[in-house]
Amino acid sequence: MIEVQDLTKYFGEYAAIEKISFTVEKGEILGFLGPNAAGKTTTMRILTGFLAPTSGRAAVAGYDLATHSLEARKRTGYLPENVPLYDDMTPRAYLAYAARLKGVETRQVRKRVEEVMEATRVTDHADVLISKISKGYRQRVGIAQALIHNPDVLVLDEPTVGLDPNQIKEIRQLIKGLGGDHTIILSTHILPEVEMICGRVVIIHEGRVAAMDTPENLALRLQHSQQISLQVRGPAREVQAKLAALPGVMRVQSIRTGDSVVELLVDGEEKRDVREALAAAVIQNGWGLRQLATVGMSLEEVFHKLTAEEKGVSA
Amino acid sequence: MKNALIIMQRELRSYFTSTIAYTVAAFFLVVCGYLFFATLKLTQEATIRYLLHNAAVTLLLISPAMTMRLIAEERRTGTIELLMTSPVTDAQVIIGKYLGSLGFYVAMLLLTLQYPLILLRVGAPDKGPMLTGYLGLLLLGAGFLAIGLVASSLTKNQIVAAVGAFAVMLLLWIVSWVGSGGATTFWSEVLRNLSMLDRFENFTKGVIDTRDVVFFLSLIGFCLFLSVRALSATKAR
Repeated sequence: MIEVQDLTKYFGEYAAIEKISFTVEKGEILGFLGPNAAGKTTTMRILTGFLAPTSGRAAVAGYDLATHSLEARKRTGYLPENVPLYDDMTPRAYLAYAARLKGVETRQVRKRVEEVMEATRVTDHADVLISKISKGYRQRVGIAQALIHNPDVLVLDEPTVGLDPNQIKEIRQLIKGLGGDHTIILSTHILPEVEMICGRVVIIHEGRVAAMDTPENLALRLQHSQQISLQVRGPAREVQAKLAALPGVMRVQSIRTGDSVVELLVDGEEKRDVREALAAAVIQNGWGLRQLATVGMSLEEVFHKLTAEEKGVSA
Repeated sequence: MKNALIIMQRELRSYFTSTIAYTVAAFFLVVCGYLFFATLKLTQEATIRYLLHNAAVTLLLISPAMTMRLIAEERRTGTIELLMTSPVTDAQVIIGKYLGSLGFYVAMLLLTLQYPLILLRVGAPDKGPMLTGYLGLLLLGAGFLAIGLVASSLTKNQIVAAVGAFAVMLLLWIVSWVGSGGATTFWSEVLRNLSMLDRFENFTKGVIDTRDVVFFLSLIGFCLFLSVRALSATKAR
């Protein structure tokens, strides 16, 4: 649904993005993750036709932005980072304007406005001047605007920024509900957001794609070793020694030793799953397996790693 | 065209809810009213020629305030992202904006029609020059607005837009002064042809010269073209 190939954008001498490539399938929610000034907004602006790339190609719903910009724009809903609202209008009037601008049929305008206001829950502030409504409502009116022409593709630039926790939760649920029907690209620098909403993540750093995968795989891929936490009922010392001897196990640390239960942290070799081997060994020795769980790296660590690693020691 | 009209409608609506627009309109109407009264009392002539002249100068002063918002404000608040990512062309945006400002100007102009109507009631003015004079004022104002639109499409700062527009208008207003007096040379002729004042003057005398009409229309066309280019340039920045 979205194709981006070798996209590069220079502002003067400065490369905002360089050779970015990715594709998004229909119905997918893609997270665009990166620190500030990584090039997220620039990429989104190119995808929505607001900026022209220096080189490279971008296409939305099969329409190349360079040659069929209007067709592509017809099929795209866009929430810029800075929500584009007119303070002198009410949400209702504003959304009606946006609907007509985006080519919603005149007869359908009123109905569509009601529908998106319902979906984004701004109906109760429909007739208050936009200059008088709160940040949360502004954001929601912005999302309503992006949805107004029922586009195939939604591009949301930092949709939850500046909202309070309750509002964030609501907006995330709303976005998640939109996936499937719509193909969504969402940028954020908040990691849990990506883990919660997105099926796939592109990590962008200093204008380049640093990594691209599902949140889970990304975490897995970046683990140099797999770590497993284990609770076993049995003689502490013997348990530790036996498990450490298993193939693929690099190190066994004892975290806590209780009366009869020992809590261990096991480091496995890279790309080797030792969980089943561990479980089998515990059972074979007649001990009690109380708990076995992988200690996954959160995407937050992955992200930190990805973006900090290159800087090396100087960071 | 439909898209341009949608943008025009919003623009008009925004004029009629903005303080700047009402201030400008009030200023224009008060000054025109005063000048009508003053010149009529002084000259005892049933003509609006003086009024038209003074209205033109007033317009020179206030029209930058009517146009400075047009694109600059969209740039400043970021609503330009909505406009430029919607399925409308840059030309449609510019034409819509221009028609919006023109609509407001025409509304303002209509309110000054009371003066010729008063003259028609109490005296026997020559109707021809009144009609051509109004046509002249309409074209002159339309030219001013087009210049203002270019200035507004180049910046996100409304003050810069207003001052820039005013500077260009004033120069085009008085550009013939350099060439006046002395012998007629090629350059004095060129400058005289560029003068908006001279062009406008012909209309108030009751003369519709095709060259004058073409001058204003091409000025408007050229300015709209420049505005479209300025807007498109945002993309390639």
